[in-house]
Amino acid sequence: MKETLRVGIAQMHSLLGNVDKNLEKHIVYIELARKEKVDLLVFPELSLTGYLLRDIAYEIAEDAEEALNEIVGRAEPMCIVPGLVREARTGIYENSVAYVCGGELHGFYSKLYLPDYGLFEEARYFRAGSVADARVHEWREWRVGSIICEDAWHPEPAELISRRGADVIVIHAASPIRGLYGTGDTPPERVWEAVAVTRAVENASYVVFVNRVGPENEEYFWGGSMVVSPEGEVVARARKMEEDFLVVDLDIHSLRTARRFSSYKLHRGDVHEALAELR
Amino acid sequence: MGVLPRLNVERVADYLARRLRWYVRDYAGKRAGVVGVSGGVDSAVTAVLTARALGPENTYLYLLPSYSTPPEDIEDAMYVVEYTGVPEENWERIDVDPVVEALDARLGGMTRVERGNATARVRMIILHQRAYRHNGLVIGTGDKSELLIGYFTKYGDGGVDVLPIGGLYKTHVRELALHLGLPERIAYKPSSPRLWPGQTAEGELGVGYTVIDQILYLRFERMLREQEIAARLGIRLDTVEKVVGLVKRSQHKRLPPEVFHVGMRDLGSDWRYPREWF
Repeated sequence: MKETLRVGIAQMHSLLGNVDKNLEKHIVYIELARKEKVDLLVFPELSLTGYLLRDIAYEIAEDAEEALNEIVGRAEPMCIVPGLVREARTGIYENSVAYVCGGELHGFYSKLYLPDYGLFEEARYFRAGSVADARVHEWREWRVGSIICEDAWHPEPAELISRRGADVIVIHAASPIRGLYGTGDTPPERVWEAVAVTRAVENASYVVFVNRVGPENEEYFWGGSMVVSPEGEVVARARKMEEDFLVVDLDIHSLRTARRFSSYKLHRGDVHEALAELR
Repeated sequence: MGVLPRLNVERVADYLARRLRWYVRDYAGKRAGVVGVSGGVDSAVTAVLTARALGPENTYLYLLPSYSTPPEDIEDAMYVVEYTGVPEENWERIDVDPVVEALDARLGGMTRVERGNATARVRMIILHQRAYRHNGLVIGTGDKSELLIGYFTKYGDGGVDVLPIGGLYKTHVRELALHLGLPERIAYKPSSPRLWPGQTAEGELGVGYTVIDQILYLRFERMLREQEIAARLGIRLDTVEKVVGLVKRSQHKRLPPEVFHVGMRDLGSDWRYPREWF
């Protein structure tokens, strides 16, 4: 395994429903990443399409597929992971990320937990993904897997890709700001950091949290993307409330140390069997 | 403040200015922001935020007094004009009474409330005309308390392009005003639409914003039952019911007019396109 994996985090502001403009911006970040010799370039949830699409969700998959093909066609020497609406079957849409590695489309992962509370309406528009697609992608001898936003608020999706071999868990997010009361961080900022740290520690893996930034309708995504080491330390942070690009080297020694001194090697399948019986 | 949490004023000031800049420039593709400045706290805060967001040179402030505007409001509005630092050619005083009187004569006399609403709508017409001239948007000054209880004139002060402080209770607007460096006499001025002499919000509503804001917060952000709100605030249940009743009855003022559905897909519940639709 290579000693380090260089990760680029494109904390971008996507324009709702404007795939052409969003693709242009992806290419800007891809070129920046190439100059920085990035191995893995990750984008936020639905980065090619925008998030609060509502009825545009039905009409945007074709444009998104064309944009994805352009990214594939560039044959970049890195693994690129953008987010998009994907027509998984005719008339059936999923909230997905694509793995484009070395100019080849390695596959898709679709969000398992579609939120439909508060401002969220994903279950109205999208079909939930399949656990079979929660795969690990090998690149530069590192093993990487993705989950999407709400997936991280449940322990199992991260655990699934981790137990399938991932050393890096990418969380692609579109988290809007809420509750600008009191002082310091808002509730979503506080909770997301706790979630990212927890997913890293419980899986003794790197967590790369890449959040959207900027306005979309009434919402404003707060950015604040971060990398958490397998030991649970936030080792890099992007700016909040504005676009940013982070380049971070993940280090194999941190993985080794964390796994030596954790109970990660224990896995109780029977706990999951018991959970499967419950509602 | 009572049960209302304090506002994170530093972040909110930055956040609102950032959003307003994007909304005017990138979303709407306009240059300027136009604000009607009354001398009250809402318009003072909105004017300062607009100048921060777009620059004083792209901010236009209008004093639109009527016979019921007290002199101290005009002085305070002038203070806001100076405080925001807009250039001389970016502010103007336009007295609205001649227009309202012409309407009154043509319509054969209006009641006090009719005249008050007409005054608010005349101001709206003036602001939109100036916004068009300056390639700008009309930046609304309504706060969350007023929007929720419906304490505004439909298509009057409600007839604006964007509501940057629509997420702030009146209590929070006052906090933000102090943070933005506005004087206490403006920050804590008793709220009033001044649509007729002596009109105050508290006089008309029978309860002050300090209490209203706590009721609104507990009922709609914390989703407590009305009896519990009364108990927590140590107030009468009928006060809570009155405020909640205002919110319910004014729902029509906050929504686009209803369209009766005929086709397979009409405006309203199954027309779910986002505001940003590029």
